Amino acid sequence: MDRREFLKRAAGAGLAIAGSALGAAWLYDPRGGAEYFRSEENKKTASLKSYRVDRGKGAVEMTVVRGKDPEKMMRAGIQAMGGIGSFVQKGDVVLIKPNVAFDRAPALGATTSPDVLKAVALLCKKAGARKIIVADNPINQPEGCFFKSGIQQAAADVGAEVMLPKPGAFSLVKIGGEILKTWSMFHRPLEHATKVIGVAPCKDHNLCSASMTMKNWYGLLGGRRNQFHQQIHTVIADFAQMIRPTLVVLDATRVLMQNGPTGGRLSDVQEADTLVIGTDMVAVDAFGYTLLGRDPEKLEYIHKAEARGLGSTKWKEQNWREVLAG
Amino acid sequence: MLARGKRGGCARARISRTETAISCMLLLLMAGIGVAIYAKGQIYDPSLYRPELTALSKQAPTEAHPVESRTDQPASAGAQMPAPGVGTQPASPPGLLDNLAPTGWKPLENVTHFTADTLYEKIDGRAEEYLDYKFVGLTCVSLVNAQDSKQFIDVYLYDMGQPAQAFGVFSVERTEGLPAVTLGREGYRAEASYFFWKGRYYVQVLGSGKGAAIEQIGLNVARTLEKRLKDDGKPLWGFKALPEKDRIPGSIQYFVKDAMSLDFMKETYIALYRKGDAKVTAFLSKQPSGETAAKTLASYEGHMKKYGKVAEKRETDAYTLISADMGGAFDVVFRKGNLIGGVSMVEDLSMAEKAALDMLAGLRDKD
Repeated sequence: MDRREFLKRAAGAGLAIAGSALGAAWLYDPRGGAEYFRSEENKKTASLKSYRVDRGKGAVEMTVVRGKDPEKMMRAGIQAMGGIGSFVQKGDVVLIKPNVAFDRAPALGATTSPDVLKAVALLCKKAGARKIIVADNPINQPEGCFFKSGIQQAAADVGAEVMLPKPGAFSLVKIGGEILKTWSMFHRPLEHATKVIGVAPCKDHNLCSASMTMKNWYGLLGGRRNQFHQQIHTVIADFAQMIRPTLVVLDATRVLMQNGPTGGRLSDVQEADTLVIGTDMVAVDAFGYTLLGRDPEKLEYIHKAEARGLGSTKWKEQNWREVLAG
Repeated sequence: MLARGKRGGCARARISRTETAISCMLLLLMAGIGVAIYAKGQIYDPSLYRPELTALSKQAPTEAHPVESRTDQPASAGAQMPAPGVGTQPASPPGLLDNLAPTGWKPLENVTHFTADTLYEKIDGRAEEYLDYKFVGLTCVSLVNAQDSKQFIDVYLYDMGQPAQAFGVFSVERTEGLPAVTLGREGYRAEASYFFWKGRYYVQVLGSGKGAAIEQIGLNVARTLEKRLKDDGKPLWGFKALPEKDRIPGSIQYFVKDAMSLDFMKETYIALYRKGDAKVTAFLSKQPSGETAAKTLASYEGHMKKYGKVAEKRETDAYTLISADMGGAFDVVFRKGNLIGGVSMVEDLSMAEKAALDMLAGLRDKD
């Protein structure tokens, strides 16, 4: 090798080393592993928008509908609140959140009735919704829960899309509650939705006495959510802070009177033939608790939510209607 | 042209095209790997950093008992993970739920198993009750009618560790007035669902609807499973210790805590008795020691003073007995050695005292 050749090769090698060093310097992150991932998580923390609609002063806030046919009941109840057009407009993407927490048959009252879900979805379709998403996060075997509860079939019957809780569908969400500050949530359906309707069964609950429309949002939490059971009333009140749905529907066509939330005995289920539709979850749950034959004064979480200004337990003082439907 | 220098004779002046092409490909491959690593590093996937608990357990799950534990949901920074290796294996003998499907039915999915740590995944909101009763494991299978997929039967086999715990959870979930069925030690039916306990197991066979056909299928499944469950047949202590006379069949319950909604009443058997037209609730608890029993009695006396009025306190060498008016109904509680017993909310004081003294006498006989 002559001198010229040596210098050429040395320069090439030097350039390669310098390039690698510059590249490494560009990629180097001085924060370290844990801090890096924490800041990445923070970057990806989502916030939930309000899905409420402004219907002006004097609008009916709650209807209690009695009847046997969920479709007629939903129609009559919503009509009394100004019609579905007051809540869902043409082109909306509507998320319907039923309670599909367990792989139980609909008759056992542990999950939302498929007929009620269908009735809600049909109304949204009628209003011109572009898409209807049905989503919940049963921790164990979501496919089995959607199948056995009849919700999968009901969604298919009305052309709604069932969104299952796949791993990539979860995001950290800023909740800002007393206990729930930031938590992993089944967020994808909420990202897509322009309107959100919660459709919850009315049932006894071993830990919080009753599972109704506020508790229903627990089903969107990811992670190891059973750790909240110790302070369940505060956490349920946090849900009223977390989400402002367009509408909630308390499905009390069947009421699971005891051995909730799982049930398992038809003898524990009472036909109550009632739907409670409202915009104030606290008021709807306060009324719903009476359907379980219990005193709303004793239901801790609704009072916690009321104290935070998230709704009112005094449903009688609100603008409400009682409707009889076929 | 030859290169100059000591090793000039070995140096090549030209590099073949093939060699150049291979070199370029290798360089491109390295660059590609670099880009892929960088791109992957931009996508944060917390599940990559979560321990695989099943991999840490000593024994791999069998095909019949796959460990069912969903860990694919992103957990937040605050989420707690279970201790590695704790309770990740089925405690029940394997195969208890295999081949349970009657003719025309088939399993909907594999047999699944839940431990104390994962029970909430299956029965979120209800798991705590089972954990109070020292739950060991839950094994489940779902059977579906091959001709009608809307008809299914879910089988839940709860291993409660001890017969008393199995009976306890069975008894507190039982709804009054449901027809008894000869299944296990004790069983009942609610439409097409069957509930029974046998040995250390509490079993639920849940039919998806009503009707004679599914009722019969459910019963067949329950009977098949019942035969597979071992039981030493030894009667539970509470069944022997509580008086048999006038006892309403199927009324015994066992509470590990909060019996009669009293937070100091632990490990207590309760039974209903018919005394003429009246119903009397009797209770009996074996405490770990005489000292603990004395403390429980003191707590009961405190409760009586707070919510009622103590009518009499009788102390003998053999026992202490306290009766109180609890606002129109009467409680009588006694302590004998490490036993606490009595009657609660009886309409008449003399009836309450007699029932409590009869219980005491019975205990003396059995001692």
